[in-house]
Amino acid sequence: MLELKNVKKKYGNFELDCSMSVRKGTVVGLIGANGAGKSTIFKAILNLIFREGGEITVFGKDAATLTAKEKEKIGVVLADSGVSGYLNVKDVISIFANLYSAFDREGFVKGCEQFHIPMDKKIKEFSTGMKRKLQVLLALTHDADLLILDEPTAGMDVIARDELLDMLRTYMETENRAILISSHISSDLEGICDEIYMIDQGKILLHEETDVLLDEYGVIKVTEEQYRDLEKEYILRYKKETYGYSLLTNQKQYYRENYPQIVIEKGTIDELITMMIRGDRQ
Amino acid sequence: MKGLLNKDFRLLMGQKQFFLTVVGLGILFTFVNGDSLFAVPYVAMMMCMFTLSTISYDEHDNGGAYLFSLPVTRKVYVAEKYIYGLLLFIASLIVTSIFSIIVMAVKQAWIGNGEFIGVLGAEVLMVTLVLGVTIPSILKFGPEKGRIALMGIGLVIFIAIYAFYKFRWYTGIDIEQFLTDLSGMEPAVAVVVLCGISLVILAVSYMVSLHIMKKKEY
Repeated sequence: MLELKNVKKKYGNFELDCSMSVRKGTVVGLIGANGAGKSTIFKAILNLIFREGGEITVFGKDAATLTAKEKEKIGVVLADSGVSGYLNVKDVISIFANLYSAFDREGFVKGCEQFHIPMDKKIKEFSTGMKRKLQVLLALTHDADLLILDEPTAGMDVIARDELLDMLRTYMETENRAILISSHISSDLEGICDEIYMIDQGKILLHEETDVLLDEYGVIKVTEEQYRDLEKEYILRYKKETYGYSLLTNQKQYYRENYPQIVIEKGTIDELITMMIRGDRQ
Repeated sequence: MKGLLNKDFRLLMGQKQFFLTVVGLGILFTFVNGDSLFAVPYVAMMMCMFTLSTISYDEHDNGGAYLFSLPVTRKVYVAEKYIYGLLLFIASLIVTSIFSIIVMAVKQAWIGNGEFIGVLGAEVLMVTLVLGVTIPSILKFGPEKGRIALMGIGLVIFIAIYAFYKFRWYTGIDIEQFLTDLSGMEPAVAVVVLCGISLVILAVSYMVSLHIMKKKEY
């Protein structure tokens, strides 16, 4: 459904060089620190910036050559952009009904009521969370096959985030759909993504199924003495700590069975990210 | 295209105050100046300037990125701006012309067909020039820097016209003969000629704008 092959883009010292794919029926998460390159990837997919190398295909076609009709099958939320603040929601309904042949006016109005989005207020007067809810609803209500969601939960409270994630799960109940989503709240991604890509300084550091990431990856905490005796084949990263070392492994079970005396934590995605980015390679 | 036009007309409706102020001033100065034709160029010019405001509204808060992630191609976006500008211009030209004709009829001061059509023709050319120069410069430099760029472009055009006039004998184009021919033409023929020139200006401007948009990143 979506594929990036060796996509390159330079901004001063920053250089994006990444490959990734999103298959039909999957939700793929993109995580990384601010400035890691997440938004650059989203913009490259949407042809808002021009890549300097590599290929991007959407629905099997070069992303740069998508027609307006083909773009109707993509729903978008962007982190740093949105609907013109000089319009109100009633204006937006009329505009989207003219832009998308499959725009679900009733479903959208119902969603606005659910999220308490006012119809007559100028969008520039909305809070950040409210603007994001509006964008998410718009992305979900024109029968898109692919959702490109850059930080869709930013600025939302816990309840709204849960409601939104439920809406995305419902969206995925229809066959042949896919989502590429980024979020700085990793628990959002843990609950919904089938696969996760981790990006840092423009490069993909890790690509793993979420279940594998949560079940098989872990953080080992050892003293210096324990560290010396430890088998290091399955250690991905290590970091010096006051008590000794913390280590990231993708074979948690191996260490649990062979070193029952050491502390092994399950590790949240946030901890895994921190270890992958801040830790040193063996 | 329909969705974009819908958006821009809704942006205009959201600026009712601007719209009413322009119309009000047009009516007021028609009577204060005693110039029955004042509203024609004034309102038409102000309305077509609103096209430029829609570009500013589109780009406010990096809104262009979201706009071009929708089913909107850069080519259609550029074409829509010219069509929107011309629609606003033609609509305001018709309304203000009818208004001026009524004022002149009431005052019993008809200026004559030739002069009236001449005013319309000059207005078409002027608006075309303004749209033709400002749309690409606002697209290229943005609303803020675009205004500064416009002054520069205006200066360059002035120098170019002056230089062309000064060295007209070397170009082989007899501009004075052309102007003499134009003033000697039937008013309707002169308007057709001016409209033709306007279309050429807009076509060149459209191509420049499209080139700018195809290279623009968000």
